[in-house]
Amino acid sequence: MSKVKIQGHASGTGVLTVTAPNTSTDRTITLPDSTATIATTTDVAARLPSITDNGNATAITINDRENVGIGVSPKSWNNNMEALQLSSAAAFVGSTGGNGETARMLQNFYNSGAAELYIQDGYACQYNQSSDNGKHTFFTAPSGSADGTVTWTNLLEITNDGRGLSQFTAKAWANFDGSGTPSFSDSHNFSTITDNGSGDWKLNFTNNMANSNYSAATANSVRSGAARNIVAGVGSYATSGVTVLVETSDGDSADQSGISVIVFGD
Amino acid sequence: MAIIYDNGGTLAQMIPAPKFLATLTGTEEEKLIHIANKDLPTGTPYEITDEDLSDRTFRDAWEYVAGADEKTSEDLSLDDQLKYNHITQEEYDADEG
Repeated sequence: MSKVKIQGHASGTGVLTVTAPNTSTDRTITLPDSTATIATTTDVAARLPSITDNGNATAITINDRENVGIGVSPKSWNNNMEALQLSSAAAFVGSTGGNGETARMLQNFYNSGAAELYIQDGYACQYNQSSDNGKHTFFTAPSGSADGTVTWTNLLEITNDGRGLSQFTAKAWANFDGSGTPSFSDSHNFSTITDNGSGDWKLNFTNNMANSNYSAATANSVRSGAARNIVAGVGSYATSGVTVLVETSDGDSADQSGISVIVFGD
Repeated sequence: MAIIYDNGGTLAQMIPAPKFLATLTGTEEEKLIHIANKDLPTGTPYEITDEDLSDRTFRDAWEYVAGADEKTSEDLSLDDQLKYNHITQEEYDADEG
């Protein structure tokens, strides 16, 4: 069959209406059985089709909550989530609610509104970007059964001000010079250094630790001569800061340059 | 500039980290007042000084003597207390409620 072009009169609106003889709503356009290309025109390039369908099975399904599934019928997601579900394995979700707007990349679970449930047997993970506080959060869940409730563990947060909150990222670190008026050469999550006396400094955290059971390691630069017997160590641990002491092998306090501190913990 | 105060009979001097100082707004003195409120216990008398204290001779004999410009550290706002992890979200919500 050759192409048929129907063009409205210049004085008309360009609307083409197909009207059935029995009712004003019973309107059908039947396309050829095998293949069809809709709205292809060679005279108006801007109207060339942006979607070409060569599929032979249902590829995209939209359910009654407007969740979209690719290669899968999407789950019935929480009403405050717009979900693009990719097979049973993954979903990209935009959610609104108590914690503001969040972009979520999810693996093997969905939010039904009542609970977060495994889609199929196995592990589940999620990565969130929150507009409420601008942070990135990574969660994991143990292996579970399909339709079972997911229990999350928050493994890592990256805060908007650049801190990594986890068991495996340094909460704070510094390289400081305590040989005169103390000063930081560089630091992360320390707001101030307090000179308490010879070889005695408290480094105050910008953001306090949750408790004083954290781990802090100190190091002194390699020295020669008598100065090689000078050691740096932690004097005390507080949620507000860590105290670093430097002493000679005789136990005398000593000011030093090139001292490093690194802190891990909660 | 530094914050000086008495620490058990010995003078202590507190020096800000450049990276933290860069996150604050206001004049140099306003920034240091904020730092004193943040890193000193509330109610601690202190002074802001630009005196050169790099000569460490007899460092452990230095004493803090109150001057005319002595200030006293105050509580941070609730928002700042939460921001700096001085209080938990639950404590913040309870105080706000």
